[in-house]
Amino acid sequence: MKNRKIDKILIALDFDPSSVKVAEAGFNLAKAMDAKVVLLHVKIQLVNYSLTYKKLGALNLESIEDLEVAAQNFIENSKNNLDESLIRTIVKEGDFAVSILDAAKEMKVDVIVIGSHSTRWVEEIVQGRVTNRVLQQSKIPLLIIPTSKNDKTNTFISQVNELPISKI
Amino acid sequence: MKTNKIKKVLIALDYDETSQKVAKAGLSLAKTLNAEIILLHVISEQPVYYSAYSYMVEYKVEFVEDLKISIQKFLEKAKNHMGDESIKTILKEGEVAETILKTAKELNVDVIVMGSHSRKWLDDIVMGSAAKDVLKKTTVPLFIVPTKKQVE
Repeated sequence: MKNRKIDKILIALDFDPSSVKVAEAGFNLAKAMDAKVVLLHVKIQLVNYSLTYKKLGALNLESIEDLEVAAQNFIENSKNNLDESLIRTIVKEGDFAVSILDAAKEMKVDVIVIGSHSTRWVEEIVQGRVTNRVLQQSKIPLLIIPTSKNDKTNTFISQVNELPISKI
Repeated sequence: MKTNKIKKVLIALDYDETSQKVAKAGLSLAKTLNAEIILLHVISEQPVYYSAYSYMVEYKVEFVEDLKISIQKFLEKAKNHMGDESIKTILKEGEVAETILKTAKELNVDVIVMGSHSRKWLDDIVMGSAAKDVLKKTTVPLFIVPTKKQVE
């Protein structure tokens, strides 16, 4: 059996605080495998953002431009948090599943890492509820990182106490 | 940042053509990480069978025993194919998602590797109504290998 090496890992992040955990898990994997990392943030509808922000008690976003800056900041922040300079970052706009799969294809990644809190992503990507055609073309494995709140013991991912979102 | 390595990989195989792909991806992952491999197959409890075969219980038992033997062989074959003597093989019976998670916990694995569309596993683990529940409960990352049949 031939070993197919994992050279490039796509880490899909959103504004959820647990994204940091996802990023770290993905980064740990990349480090262990000596793989390159592509950090992806998919921008969603403004409505959803305001909801997320409200939850976090963060800023008001007045325009799409602000949103873009915030997204970029978030990603850069995650990058710093991972303490790694050789990471590529991408911000995409549109449907989660489509954007993730598009980016995965474009960047020719071998694994997609996402958080389980993004059940919407999981459903869409795995089940292809929205994106059947994209899914059928996808042959990329998914690494789903458990990010639920009651998750106490995790041997895989180090605990995250500080959230970069607060620095934005 | 503390780096917690993946030391133990649980590969859940279904008894069908998807298993090769899943095994391959799991092996690749484990080998790159230099991790220990455990192959697992869960014989699904099929309540339908019970009702259907309730009048021929003996047959049913025989069937399961036969199935166990062939699956044990199948796991051994997969192991040999992977060319690693240190690989452990486990055969369990029960509700698939639950049993996978239980085994993962018992063995303290760092990642579970499984196919996306082997029978209804993913429906059980990620999708179904119980699914989100299970995914919420798991503390083990899931590595999902796409095994959906390509539609031309």
